[in-house]
Amino acid sequence: MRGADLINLLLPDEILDEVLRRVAVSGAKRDLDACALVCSRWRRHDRATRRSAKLAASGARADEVLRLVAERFPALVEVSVDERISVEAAAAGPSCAAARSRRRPMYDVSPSGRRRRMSRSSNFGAHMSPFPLDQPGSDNETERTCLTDVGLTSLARGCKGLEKLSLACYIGDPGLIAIGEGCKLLRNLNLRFVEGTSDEGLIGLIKNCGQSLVSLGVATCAWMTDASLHAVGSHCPNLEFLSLESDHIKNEGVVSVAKGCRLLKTLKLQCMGAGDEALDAIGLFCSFLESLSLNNFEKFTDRSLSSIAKGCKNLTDLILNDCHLLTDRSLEFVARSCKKLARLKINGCQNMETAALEHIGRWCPGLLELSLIYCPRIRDSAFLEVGRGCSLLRSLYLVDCSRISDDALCYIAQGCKNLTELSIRRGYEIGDKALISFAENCKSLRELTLQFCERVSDAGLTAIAEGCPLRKLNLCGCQLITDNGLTAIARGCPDLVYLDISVLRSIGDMALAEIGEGCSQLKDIALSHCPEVTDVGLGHLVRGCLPLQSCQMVYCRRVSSTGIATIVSGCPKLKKLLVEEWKLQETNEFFAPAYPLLPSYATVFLLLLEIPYPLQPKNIKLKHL
Amino acid sequence: MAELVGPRVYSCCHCRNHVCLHDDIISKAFQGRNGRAFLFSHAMNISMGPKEDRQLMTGLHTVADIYCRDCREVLGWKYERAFEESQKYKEGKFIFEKAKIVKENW
Repeated sequence: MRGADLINLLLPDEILDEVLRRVAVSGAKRDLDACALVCSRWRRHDRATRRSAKLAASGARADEVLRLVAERFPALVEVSVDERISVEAAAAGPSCAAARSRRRPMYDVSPSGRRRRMSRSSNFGAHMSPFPLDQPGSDNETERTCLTDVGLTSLARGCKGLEKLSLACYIGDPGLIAIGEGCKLLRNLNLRFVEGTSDEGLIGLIKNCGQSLVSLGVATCAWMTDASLHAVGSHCPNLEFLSLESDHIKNEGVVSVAKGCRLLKTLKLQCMGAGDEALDAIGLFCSFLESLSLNNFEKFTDRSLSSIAKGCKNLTDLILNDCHLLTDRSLEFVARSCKKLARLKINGCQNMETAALEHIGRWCPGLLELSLIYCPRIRDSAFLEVGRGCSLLRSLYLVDCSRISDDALCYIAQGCKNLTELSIRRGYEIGDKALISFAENCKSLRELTLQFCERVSDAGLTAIAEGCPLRKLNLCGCQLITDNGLTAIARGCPDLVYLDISVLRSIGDMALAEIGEGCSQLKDIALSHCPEVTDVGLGHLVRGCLPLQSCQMVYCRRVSSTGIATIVSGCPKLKKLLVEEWKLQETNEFFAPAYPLLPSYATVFLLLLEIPYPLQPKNIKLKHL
Repeated sequence: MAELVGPRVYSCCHCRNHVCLHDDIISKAFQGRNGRAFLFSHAMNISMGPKEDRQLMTGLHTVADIYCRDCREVLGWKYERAFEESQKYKEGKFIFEKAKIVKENW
């Protein structure tokens, strides 16, 4: 019978819940919202089972929205409250029935065919003008333009099962304490850009739900001092993940955490005030530590890493950023003691020399990923040891290591045959010999990035094309590459998904034509600063690469509005386009017909042509069309 | 008499550390972050920061900021690479901003 609902009446509740659960796991929030609109039964089930929500902290109705969400979605487990999202002020209409808002569509479709970006606060928030406004307890007449503690308190009381909470907004201490009192199962807490609170609030929260807390992250919260960390140490014995970014933390705070949280597995510290004593304590007490990340740590010396090495035998990940006082001896300690080391990243530790890597090569056979950024003193001989010792290496990432030459990379290629990712930026001494060696030895290479490596030429690229089935290739700034090299790539790597050929002066339309023919899976292409590419080449590219989603082509002086129109009309899946704004404005007659073909969720980024020096992010205007 | 003899030196505006010589000036027609800047062929007593790829008025360049070695004041930048043929002459040379350097007794 037409129009009759046969299945819904027979579907048991458990099956419906299971269906909704699977939609939540695999689909977008949009899909779940659509399910909630099918009928009132489905909406009831969705409300009873919805597990995660992203809520707005800006807008005058934020408190009310949060209260309603807490009442109607009691099963929420993961909540993120963000002040970048805003509840749009709905028209106040006390007589509008709630029923009318239920039938209103979820999104407005504006005339240009693009969905207006709705606030991501609960489905009903933005359209729900007519709920009864019971005034909150406080009587002061101050203008409320954002979330306050009242809203957070209602969230805490309503969602008792909350496990994961992320706050990025302006709230006060009572709000945090309310969360602590209400959500006794809280496992993950993340505070970022939270202002208006003080240590009191966080301490209150921790005292109440510290037992269940497993993960704590605090960043850009200038109020946090050691007092909070003392509380963490006293009340959070089960803490496994801690990430701290603060200028006021000193040694005592970190020592308290070390003594109290013996089960700590991941530690990320960006604290200028702490030094060696802090890490001595971590090494002494936190023997389960697996991942350590130290950023801008200006005060600690080799002594810290020696303590860590002695105590944390399970260390697998080590990240050191801008640690100027460290020398090779630190890495020797770590290498000799932490046999399970798998991921190592050294950024800007200028006093680390060749010996540091030699120790790693000799003592860490399990190394999987190695990143060296701005290490100008490391020389080729270090890689001889790494090549010999670390045969399981999967990923190598080198930036600004100016002394590394082809020989070093040949050692790696011959020793680390399982390499899948290789990335080199500004390797001015690297040339074709290294590439040929990789092509012969590393048949699993999938991602290759060679940015500003000026000696790399077509010969090396052709070898790679024949030897390695690449999926991602970045050749930005390798000036010697010509159309021939790219032709070889197009013919040899049909699985290519991402290609960046920016700042290549000699490539032209022939390369694009070959890529169009050969790389039918291409989703992402960047060809900015290529002066010889013209609209004709773009036409060939678009004809072949149907799955193209993202295209960047700024500063291509021979590409005109016609070329842009070709891209827009030829790529049905286009989501992101980076191009100069004047190229679009010039040709309304070309662009206008093509524009409605852009999928409604596409975002077109436009770059203004006048770029004053220096290029600061604030000088670029990005517009959503 | 000592002031009239000897090389004409520019110093860091904060700590008066000698950083460059007047005779090394190649061009005075450059634009810095906050005003005029000069192009020098040599520099001394400076340290360099990490390299960055920047889009300047004259095109894409790889530059590195230069700091006074003693007081860590940013004095300008050094051109590592230029990606347009007409700009290649700048490679390896230093820009000092006029506001950050002072003449040392001349």
